[in-house]
Amino acid sequence: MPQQHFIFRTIEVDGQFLRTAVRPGQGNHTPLLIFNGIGANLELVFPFVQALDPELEVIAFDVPGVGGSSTPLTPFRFPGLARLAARMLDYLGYGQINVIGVSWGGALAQQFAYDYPERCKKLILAATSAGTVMVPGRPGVLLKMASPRRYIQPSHGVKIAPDIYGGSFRRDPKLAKAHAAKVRSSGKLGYYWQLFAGLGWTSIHWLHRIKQPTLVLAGDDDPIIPLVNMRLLAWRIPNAELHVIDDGHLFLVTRADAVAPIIMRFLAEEKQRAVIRPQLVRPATKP
Amino acid sequence: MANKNNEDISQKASENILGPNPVVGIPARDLLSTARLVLRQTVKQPIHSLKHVGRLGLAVKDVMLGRSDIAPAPDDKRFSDPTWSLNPLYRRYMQTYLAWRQELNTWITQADLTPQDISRAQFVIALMTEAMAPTNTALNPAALKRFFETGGKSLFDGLTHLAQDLVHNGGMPSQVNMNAFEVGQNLATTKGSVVFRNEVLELIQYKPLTEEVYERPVLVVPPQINKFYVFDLSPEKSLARYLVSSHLQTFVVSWRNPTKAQREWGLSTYIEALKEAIDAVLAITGSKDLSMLGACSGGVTTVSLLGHLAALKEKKVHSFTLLVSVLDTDVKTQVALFADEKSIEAARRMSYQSGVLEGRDMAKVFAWMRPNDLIWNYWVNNYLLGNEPPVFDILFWNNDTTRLPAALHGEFLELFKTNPLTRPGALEVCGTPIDLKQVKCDFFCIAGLNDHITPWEACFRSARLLGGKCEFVLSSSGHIQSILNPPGNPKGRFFTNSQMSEDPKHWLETATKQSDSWWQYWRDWLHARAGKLKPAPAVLGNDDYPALEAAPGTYVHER
Repeated sequence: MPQQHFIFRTIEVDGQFLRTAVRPGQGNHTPLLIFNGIGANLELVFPFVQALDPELEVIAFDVPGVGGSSTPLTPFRFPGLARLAARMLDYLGYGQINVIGVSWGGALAQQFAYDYPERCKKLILAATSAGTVMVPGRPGVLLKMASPRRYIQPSHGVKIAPDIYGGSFRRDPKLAKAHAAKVRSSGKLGYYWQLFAGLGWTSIHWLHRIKQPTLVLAGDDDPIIPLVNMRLLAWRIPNAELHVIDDGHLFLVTRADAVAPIIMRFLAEEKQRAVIRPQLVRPATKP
Repeated sequence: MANKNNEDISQKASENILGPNPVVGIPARDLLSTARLVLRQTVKQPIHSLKHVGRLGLAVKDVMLGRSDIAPAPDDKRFSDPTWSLNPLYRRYMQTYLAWRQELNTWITQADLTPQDISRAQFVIALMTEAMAPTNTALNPAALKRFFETGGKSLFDGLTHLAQDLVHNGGMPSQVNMNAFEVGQNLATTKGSVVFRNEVLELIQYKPLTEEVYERPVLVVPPQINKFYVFDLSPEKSLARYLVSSHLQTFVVSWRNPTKAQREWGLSTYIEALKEAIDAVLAITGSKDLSMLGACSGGVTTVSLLGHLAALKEKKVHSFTLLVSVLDTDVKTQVALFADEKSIEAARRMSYQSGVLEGRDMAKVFAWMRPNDLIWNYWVNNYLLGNEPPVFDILFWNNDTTRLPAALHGEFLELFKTNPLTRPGALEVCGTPIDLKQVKCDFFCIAGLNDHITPWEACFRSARLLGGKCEFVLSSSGHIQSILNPPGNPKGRFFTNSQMSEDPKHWLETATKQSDSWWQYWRDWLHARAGKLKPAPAVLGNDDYPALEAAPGTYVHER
């Protein structure tokens, strides 16, 4: 695995500072934008990005209130965040992109795909749900999730990881330590703002209008979001295919090498697309 | 009588079937907005509208008094039953309808609208008036006679057909009895083998029927939107069989029927696949180059491939043939009326999202382009008369549709919109820009005089884009009939003219009319460019490309 470089930039969009990271690629793939999980800073997806085809350009960022981005004074909602993401793409100079959303970021990805259909070419949803209309995980798990303590106090994160993330975390204690080491907290408020954004939000009534080709990835041992929610997504989104992975909530990180090929196959395009150049027409003079 | 009638219907339909034309559907939205425009126009120009209502009133008065001499067009077969002209009630019914139709048309033609809006409105009004023809109602005298002749069974049969079509055919009247044929059993039966297969295509080599064959093989590239067996329909109507019996080593491509998983296949993918097929043909025959034939969208693909090979300076293709192919897409067809920027974009997005363009939906759109020949006559035949749908191989083939991968569909739409083949370097496939003037090999070009899918003038203009020496031939038939043109047809005609003039009209005026089929003329043209005769190979394929299975192969069966 060659060392891959990320280009970090902190940009100012609509009065917010956003920390972004881009892993440059070759020009013949549509770039991939990552919407990360709740409270999770962009470093947490690096192992996953490293596993993807090095030719693919990847964009990750910290949502407001997470990692290196500023925390707004007022709460925000998903439509506002989707707009912010679009503004960020404008700033970084991206037109059409593919989107992957994980967990909480999956909700944002659905909102983005729905609000910007011409901008989002393909959509990947991992370990996420349709929002409020969902089959919840076990109450104990959700209570642990409702607090940012695991991000602020890594030792607590290591302790509860098997319960909330499931899958490999149940079998391999080292994983939780490695995961906790990458966490970069930005304080409680940002986490609560993120929780608030999801409060009462649901996509169930417009899922059938997300027309993008969609790949739904689900872990079969996911304590936070039971598999049935992903089945619901795949059933409601018209051009969706469901892929179940034998792991827990964070399979994107723990099973990166297994998941990356599935994602690359879904994102694959022709190596040498036909290029069709339009004729340059002088504007017709108005009669 | 019923048999003759059946033949008429199928004949009429096969002259009008869509054949492969991967263009834009007409979004229902556009039709509705045009219909709204028509309705608004009645209010916008009240004086103009009232004038025409008045004129219609006068015409109807004449009809009622029996003083009207309005009559259906001579080629309108719908009113051929003598009842329409002899029975005073029926005559009045028909004449009222004709007067109404005529008045609506003159009203819209003289309306204060842009020419394009007028053409669109005419199309929508025609859809409505044709649907409301008296012949489509249960009062149709032929239907009533059948009802009494069969003691009511025809009505029962008709309703049965209607129910079956609602369930199995998306509510469209069936054009053909789909149970009468089976590919490989009574269609596509010429002997041969699949000698090469990749993701995109199967390559079929046909068994030589002569002791000696010419050195240079022929490779046929069918359109992507229909199955390949239009080139091997029945023993009489088989171009493949005709070629192998004319001492030519014949290979035909059978495209895979793509599904959602092949969403991203575009022109480059198809061209790469064809390059592999060409290498296989050359390896099997030991020839250093070959002759190609491309039909319709297969012709567009072939020409793009030739441009690509020319850019690479590869000389694997010695000569080629274009069948009813339009490269210069500046055409005025009915479809083009609705093909504006917005609907093209919508069509592209829709097929990309669903992964493929369904051939069935395509066929439906085209059926509505010619509703009398493709919908209403079946309506009358299947439902009102209670007859079985006709048994006709061409219609079976036309109904055996395939899908198009979204990317390819998108690229075809883009070709249609921006017309890049007319400008050097405007199209780039497999990484090389294409200049058709650099394609310098001899080529043969066939178009159909009565082809409204690929109008022959457009084919003529397209032929002039290429750099090689052109032999242009105009057949007297429609789109599909131009391809399926076996010798021995007393009505067959074609025009030849070795002088390629600037203007298609001038070319036709100075052309020589020849009888029978262009197949023979083309065979002689191929023979002149086919090298020497040698003994026919004893086996199909070779050690590297062994015969995998008998023709017509697997891909053709994928529904």
